Amino acid sequence: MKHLQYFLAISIGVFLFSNTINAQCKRFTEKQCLPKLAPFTNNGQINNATLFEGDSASLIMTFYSLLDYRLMVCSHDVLGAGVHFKVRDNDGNILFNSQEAQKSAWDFRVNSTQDLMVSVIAPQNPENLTDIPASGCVSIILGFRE
Amino acid sequence: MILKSIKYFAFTISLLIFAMGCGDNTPTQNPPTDKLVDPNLDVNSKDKARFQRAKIVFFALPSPIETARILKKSGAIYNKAFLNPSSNATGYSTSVQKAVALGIFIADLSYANSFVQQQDCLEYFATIQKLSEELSLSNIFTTEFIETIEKNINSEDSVLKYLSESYWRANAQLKENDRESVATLVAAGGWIEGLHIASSLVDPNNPLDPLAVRIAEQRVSLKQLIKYLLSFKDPKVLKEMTDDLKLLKTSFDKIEMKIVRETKEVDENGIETVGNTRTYTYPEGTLKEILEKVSIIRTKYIK
Repeated sequence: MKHLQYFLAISIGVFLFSNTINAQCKRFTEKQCLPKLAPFTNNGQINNATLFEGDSASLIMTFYSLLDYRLMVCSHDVLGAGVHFKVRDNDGNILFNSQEAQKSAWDFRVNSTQDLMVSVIAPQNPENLTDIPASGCVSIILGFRE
Repeated sequence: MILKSIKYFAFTISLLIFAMGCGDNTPTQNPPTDKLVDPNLDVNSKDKARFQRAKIVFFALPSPIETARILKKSGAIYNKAFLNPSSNATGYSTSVQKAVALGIFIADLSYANSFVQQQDCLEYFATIQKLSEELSLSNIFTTEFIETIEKNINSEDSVLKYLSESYWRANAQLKENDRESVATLVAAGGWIEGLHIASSLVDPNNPLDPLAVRIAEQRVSLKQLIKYLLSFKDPKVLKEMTDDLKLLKTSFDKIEMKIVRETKEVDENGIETVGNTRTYTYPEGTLKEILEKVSIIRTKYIK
């Protein structure tokens, strides 16, 4: 009986913990990131994740010709200012590097409809002096306009 | 007693890892590949193991909102007869049918809004509200929300903004509640409907029709959509959709594609044009074959 109680308590805790992380990330994206897309319209898809310092994430996105895009990576302050992204074509050529461009958003269009790979890198934050790596929400958001 | 505590601790940790990474409705992540490591990233050896573990590859889902805009820019006209009548909304009984239908109606709404068809937009918003409630998507398409849309229905931009925001919130809520498989079915439904609208408008005998080009371009989205569907750990609920799309892919794969590398250009507004140029050639009968398959698949899901 005690085991069952323990199991249920842990299960509920885990469920709530994972939902809370998702909910926080959602709120962060909605309040802090989406408004920055203007005057572009968000395409309605959600691409966010919780990353630790030193993590990277890649996203394969389809971009259509005939539309202009604003691609933006928005990260929680706890990850520091070093979070950046790169966009590569199918051959691995880097089309955009936000660190080099010193921009958090990229406005562009593609010659033809194609997939591009967006890689987000959250390097070690030098301001984090603890042994515990910081983690925070990172959102890749896409806006378009005609 | 100590052993027992250790056992519970280990069990708890396992459960945490399981819950955070292996939900049935959560897409699995691609196995890490060295190719994806950024060579310029400064990581020390201590962090390397964690870095390797943490590389994540996602697939973005196609957006029905974008598709509608592309259709309009490609010379499409508005014809309500091609859309799924909102009266069909009462006929969907399973959650899979409802999720796919929701995507179909979102695509229809996007198409109607692109052509400033206010009355049809209101009709589809009401249908989407009903289906969303049935899919337990709460506080998104509320009565107040619909009233706000009614007040601003004459503004195409406002309606687009509301549609974009509400679609984003629906996707976010599905993700938050570990129901990403439902979000995938919604996106798949929207994608099929966009393709159906293009298929209904294209000249089947003219592979050079701009809409035929837009259809050919969808092979890129189709490939990603199938990959995404296959990435779920428990794909039972997605099997029918996956099989249908795989069947469609066999026809799309027949289209010949020629890639020409281009150099980056920047226009007077600072907008960069990037990526290669692709041209498509339909072998004899392939366009018609695709149109037939799209019709069969779409008919199955709107019934």
